[in-house]
This record gives sequence, structure tokens and C-alpha cells, in this order.
Amino acid sequence: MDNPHYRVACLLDVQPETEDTSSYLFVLEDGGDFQFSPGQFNMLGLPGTEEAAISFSSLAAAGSGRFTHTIRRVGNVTRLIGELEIGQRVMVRGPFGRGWPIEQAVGCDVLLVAGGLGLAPLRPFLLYMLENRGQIRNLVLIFGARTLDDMIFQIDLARWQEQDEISTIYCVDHLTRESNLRLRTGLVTRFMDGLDLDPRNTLACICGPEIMMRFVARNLALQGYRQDRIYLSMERRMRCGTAHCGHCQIGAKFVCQDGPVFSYPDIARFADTAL
Amino acid sequence: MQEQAFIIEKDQLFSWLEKLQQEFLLIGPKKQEEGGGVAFLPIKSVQELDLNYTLTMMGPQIYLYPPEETICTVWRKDDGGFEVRMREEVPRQVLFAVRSCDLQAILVLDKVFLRPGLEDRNYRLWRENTLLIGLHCSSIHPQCFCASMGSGPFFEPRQGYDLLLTDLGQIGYLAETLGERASSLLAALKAQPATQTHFDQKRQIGHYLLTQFQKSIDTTHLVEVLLKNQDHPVWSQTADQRCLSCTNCTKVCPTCFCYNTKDTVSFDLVRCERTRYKDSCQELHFAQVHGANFRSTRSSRLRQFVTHKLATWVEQFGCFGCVGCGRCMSWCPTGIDLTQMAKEIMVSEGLYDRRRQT
Repeated sequence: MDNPHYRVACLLDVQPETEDTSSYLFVLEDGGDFQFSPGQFNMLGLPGTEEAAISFSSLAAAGSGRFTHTIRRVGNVTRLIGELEIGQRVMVRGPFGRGWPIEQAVGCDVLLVAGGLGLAPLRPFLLYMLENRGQIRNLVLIFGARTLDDMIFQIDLARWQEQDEISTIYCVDHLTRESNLRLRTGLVTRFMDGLDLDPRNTLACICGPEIMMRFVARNLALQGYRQDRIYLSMERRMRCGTAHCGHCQIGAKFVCQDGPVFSYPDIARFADTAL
Repeated sequence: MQEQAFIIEKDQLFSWLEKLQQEFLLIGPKKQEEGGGVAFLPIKSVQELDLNYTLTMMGPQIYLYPPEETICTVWRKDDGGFEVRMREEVPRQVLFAVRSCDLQAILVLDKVFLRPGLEDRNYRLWRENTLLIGLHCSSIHPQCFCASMGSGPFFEPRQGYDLLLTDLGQIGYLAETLGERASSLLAALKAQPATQTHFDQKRQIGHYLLTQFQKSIDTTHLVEVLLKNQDHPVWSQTADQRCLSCTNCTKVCPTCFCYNTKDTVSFDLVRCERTRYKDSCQELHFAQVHGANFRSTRSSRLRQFVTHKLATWVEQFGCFGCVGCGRCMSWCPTGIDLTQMAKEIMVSEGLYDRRRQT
């Protein structure tokens, strides 16, 4: 197929998550199907502002052409998307990239570690694991944010903390106020010892600021977790999504096509990462 | 693919080119006015062609991957939707007298832009509408090291071009065709088929040219040595002392493919033209995201250029990103030479004898 290939999508619903972040539900206008897997992303854009790479925060709903992106309004594209009204359109290209290694989770313990907005690309993976809970052993989510007000998906978080199928640890840098979420104070790495996981048989998936992923991956490696089963989702500047524009390159890897999800040793061997 | 070989007299070749001009835009090496050197430019009369050139500043690939071009035009419709119009056609053109290094660079760009399943529309259009004619060098520029990079002085791959010419002196050109397009275009010439003698002559010229190189690099252990030395002092020393981040190296490099995009909107906001233009990893903004810049230091950007061309490219595309044309060092205002940096690393690895250094 020739690239770039644009489609048009219509905004159906907006759910505020934090002060500057919301979840946007879109549907394709051409009525076509839209299949994507957890960890993949779209290039979203509007005429006049170019495009931004945004990962999916929902699971694909077969036949519906619907998808959700959880977006922090910090740049030209994301601020304009934030000003869209229901029914208005965006230009979409995708899905791009390789997502989380779902097939590797079968028969293993699964650990998800997320920082801030990094929970967004992990959410569809977690939802998939809960839907297919019988295929995996223990499931643990560690989620950290600066404060309670920076925590996205709070309805999900409240539900997950009551579910037997998943163990959750939620932590904040500063405890600002009480809520129905059981919050601990400290960085995610503080709560990674003594988890009910088998280090030799755990799939660990991490998404957050690169410096956080560095310390989480190293912590797990020191604890004896298999490094080749630690996966990270990398963020880089992107203009195309099709391994042409070159911006997202890390060593020999194009984050847009070879990633954004990489095994830790496969990406940490190159320069110019914080890993 | 169909391959044929002929001998074409020089006058014959020029009149054939003139005929081609009726159908194709002819692009070839032309001496610029006021000491501007030779550049690939549209040719009005074949008399303007300068076939003895050794190195142009910009390679001929700028006619397949223009430094700036339109990707699409987007119209806002009255109902709030968008209509996206892609580029439909490009002119038919002949790229004439392309040297071996630049033919190799085009093969490299093919790997980037024509990856199965990930074809770039504009590049594919340009490539399909371009007749590519190579002309082997008959002398070697002091900065050239194509022989070291396996991309010259003669072009060995049987792919990517339509016609490959070797100057055999008074006899004329040995013309080797590839594919039906070139064969049918040449048929009108009724040229004599080439014989073994002509190929022997070509081989002798090749042997002679190989003795003329002043610059070389040993690529045997290059990839692993560079990847192992990402913290070598040569990066920061060269960057801090000499690199100006001027981006000349990436602008003149015939394999540099990175681009940025830009939207230009009409005053009534109805029409938006999305263009792409060549970007450079030497620019500070290149690896900037919200809240971080992954190559904020000049040395990391210089290292990116050198290790990409000479090492990581091999894992990405199965070939070097450097074709040995010598442009980056020729147009670097401070003469930074990537082969010298690689050699310095090899010396510290005990793989290179300093006295041998050329």
C-alpha cells in the first residue's frame, strides 16, 4: 500500500481524565473496520497542524471502526484535538508499530508498571489480560503518578483494586488528599520487592518516562527477572509512522515500525536513550 | 531481467539523447556559471553536458527524492469533513550520467522508501517515471572511497538502473542495458553488440581506476567496532572542537532520507498543503519530544550521523548507509572526515596501524 494513507474519523465522546488529559472516542467515517493491537498507535492530525503519534488506550472493537486515544494537551496537535466538539473530524493514519507481546504472556506471571500517562498504552493490554485471565498466572499492576490528580483512568483503577483477578499497587509522589483509591507514597521502584511473581517466568511490561523505565528495568534485572522478557514502550518524535522520516530512530531501530514496544536488551544496547 | 550490451559511438549517444528529450525531461551533469562547479540540472541542449565531472555537491537523487515536495492537499468540506488529494503524477525524466556511488545511493533509497508494505507514494511515482542511466567514472577524485564501501568505481549490482555506460575512449561507450524499457529505447540505434574484447577493456579500466584511490577504509570489523565504541572520546573531541552543527553533511549525503513535514494553510483556512522537506539529525530539534531531547549534545548528533552511515544502517537495511562519495567531508566547513573518526576508533582497538593511515 502507498503511504501516507489518510482516513477521516469523527469525535464521538470525550471523557476528562485529569486537568490536561482526556480520553477521546473516535469512529472512522468511511464505515470501515479498524483492527489494532494493544501498544500500537495512530498518527492523528488536523490540516494546518501536521500530526502527532498517539497510542490506543482502548481495545479494538471488531467491526465498529471505533478507537480511543488518551491525550495530554501539550502540543499543537493535541491542544487542537482538545478543542474539538463532538461530531468534528480528525485525520487518521494507522495503526502503526508493534505492540505488547501478548502471545508471550500465556502461562506466565504478568507485571505491568506504568508511570503517569504511560498507563494509557498499557490499558488495552491489561483489559485483554482480564478478558483472557485463564491464560496467564498472576497479574500485577504497579501504577505511579505525581499526585492523585495526575492519575488517569480512576474509574478503572477503583474497579481493578477490588478485583481478585489482579493485584494493584497505586503510588503517588505526594499524597495530597484522600480518595477511594488505596494510595501509597513513593516512586514505583519502592514497591517492586517481594511481589508475588516468579522472576524466571514473568512477562514485565513497562511504560512511562524513560528515566522511570530505566530504574524499573534495572531493578527487575537485579532481582533476577529475565531481561529478555522485560518490554518497554519508547516515545520518540515521529512524522510518518512508516519508517521513512527518520526522526524516531534509536540505533538500528525505527520506533514507529520496529517498536514502539521493544524488549529491554534489544533497545538498551543503543546510544541516545536514558536506559 | 533482460540484459544486453552494445557499443555506442559518442555522437550516436548524443543524438539518441536528443530523441529521448522529446518524451523525457533530461537531467544531467552541467557546468554551472561563475565557477559553481558541475551540478545535476535540467539539460536544454546535449552540448551543455559535462561528462568528465568527478563529484557534484548534490547527488542526482534530488530528482527522485526532492529536498522539498508536496505530500497532499487537504480541503475542508462544507459538512466539516476533509477531502485529501494525493499527488497524481510527476514528469517523465531521464537521469543521465549518474556515477556508480550515486547509483548505489539510489539503491539505498529504494530500500528505505520501497520497503514491501511500506512504499512511499511520491518516491514510487518519481522512480517509476525516471529512466536511470549510469556512466562510470574515468578518474578518481581525492575524496572518493567508493571502492572501500563496495559501491564503485564500477557498479556491480544488476538492479536499479536502465542503462550503464563505460567510456572506452575512441571506440565509444560500452552500453549495458537492464530490463525491457532500455532495450526497446535503444533498439532504434541499431548499435553493434559488444564483444568479449570490449568487456576486457572495461575490466582493464576498472583495474586502473582501483590504483587511483587516495582514500580507503577497512570495513571488515567496522560495524561491531563502532557499536562497541559509542562512548569513545573521538565523538566529543571532534564535535566540541570542530562540528558547527551546520547540517551540510546530511544535506549533501545522497542516502540521507530524513524529512520533516510542514502544513501551509490558505487564508480562508479551506485549503491546506502538506509538504515534506529534508530534515537533518544534526539539528537540535531532530530528537525533541515533549519534555525531552534525546540528542541534545553536538557529540551525540555527530555520533548518530557516523554510526548510522557506517554501522547501524547494516542492521536496518543490509547495506552501508555510506557509498564513499566523499561529499560530507568535502562540504564540511571544518573538514570533518567520518573515515578518520572510524580509523581513530580502530587504532584504539588495535585494528589499525597509524602509519598506514591515508
